[in-house]
Amino acid sequence: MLSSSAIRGWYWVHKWTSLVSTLFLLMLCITGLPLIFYHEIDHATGYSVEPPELPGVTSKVSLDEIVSSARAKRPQDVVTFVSRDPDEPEAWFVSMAETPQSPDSSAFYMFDARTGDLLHEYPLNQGFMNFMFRLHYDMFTGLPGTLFLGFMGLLLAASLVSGTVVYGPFMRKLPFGTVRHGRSSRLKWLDLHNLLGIATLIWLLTVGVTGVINTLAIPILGVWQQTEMSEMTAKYKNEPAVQHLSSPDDAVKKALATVPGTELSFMAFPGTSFSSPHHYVAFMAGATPLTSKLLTPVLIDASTGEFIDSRSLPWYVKALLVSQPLHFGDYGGMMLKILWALLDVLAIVVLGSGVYLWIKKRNVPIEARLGALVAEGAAQ
Amino acid sequence: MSSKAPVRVWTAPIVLGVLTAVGLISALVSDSAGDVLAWLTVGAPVAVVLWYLPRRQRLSPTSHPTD
Repeated sequence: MLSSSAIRGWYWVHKWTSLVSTLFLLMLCITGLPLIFYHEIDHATGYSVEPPELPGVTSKVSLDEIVSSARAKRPQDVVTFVSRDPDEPEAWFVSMAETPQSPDSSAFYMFDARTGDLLHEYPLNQGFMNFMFRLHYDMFTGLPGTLFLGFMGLLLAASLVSGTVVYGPFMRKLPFGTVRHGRSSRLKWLDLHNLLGIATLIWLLTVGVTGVINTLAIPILGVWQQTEMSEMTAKYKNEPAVQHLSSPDDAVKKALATVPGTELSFMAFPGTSFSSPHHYVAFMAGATPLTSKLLTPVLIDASTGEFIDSRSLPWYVKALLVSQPLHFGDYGGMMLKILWALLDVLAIVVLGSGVYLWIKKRNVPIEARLGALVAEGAAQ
Repeated sequence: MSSKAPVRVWTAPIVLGVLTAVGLISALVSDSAGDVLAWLTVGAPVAVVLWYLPRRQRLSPTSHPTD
């Protein structure tokens, strides 16, 4: 049993971590709602397309041809990534940027893997979904905004833990799920706040903590670059920059042969935050549901096309990779996305009711509120 | 204050928490069966909330006679 001063302490933590973060968490919940259905909305609005049906066509063009087409479209830019999507096996995606280190892409193309045709150029940095995404991701302020939102996620975790601790004393005299309609509006919303909060606790904690890990993507990849990547590429350190890139198609073939039973997820071209200045890094996805998320990098010399090294990713990059589906909810079919949306709406109600309760009772000390509960229980 | 109070307070939250966790992980490690299990278990908190949300005062032992 918690002492009343301990309850007061936990309540103080709950109140202040919530008050500081609520506005941002509400923004994250509201912008996150359409983002759950990013893929579906992009297709419905024509921002994204599907490769055409080509019955009987089983040919595959060389990736080199596709990369050349992309370069011809934007000769001033460089190809940064080529990627596949397990849901669109007939498509190759090509990202381009002004320089390999540019934080923003300059173009994102979809090519037909069978014919080499350019199928779609994705409009970048425009539209409703991009606006929602940028608000959710960094509030249009780059890495500082992302890290700030990560800190709000930490406050959410502290608020959830402290809220759970004070749930105990508040619910001592009440059966689970009690919603006292018909007394005061404040009491009803207190019960709803408690019920919705405790029911969605593990989901909220999971989405919150994985969100925090996602905000650390750039620092996490930075550590991987500084440690594992520099070890694997140590002897290239003083080499001049690559003049002529070897065949990306051969690099992918070599990577597939190196890690049998995998498919390419994406390949970083030299110089990006996922590669080294002298290497392609192909990230290979396994065949099982879990290993399809935990990618294996394969380094290929970008001037000779030789295989260099392949090591499984360190735990902190794996944690990042697993955090992505757990945050997005895109790993269990449409039904899981719908549940994600419903839980998100419940989270909005928890946040809103929390603010309402604070406004209503901010001048009444916790002891009085708990005392009122005990008195009610004794009266029965 | 009976010693059973904490058990009564925490049983439902723990069950819901474990169900949610099982579902979040099952969809990650298994595709078809794991997804279906996730729909049922991650859906459990939503179902429980929807069950208690309407006025169910008459069914509750703590209800006030005038409610």
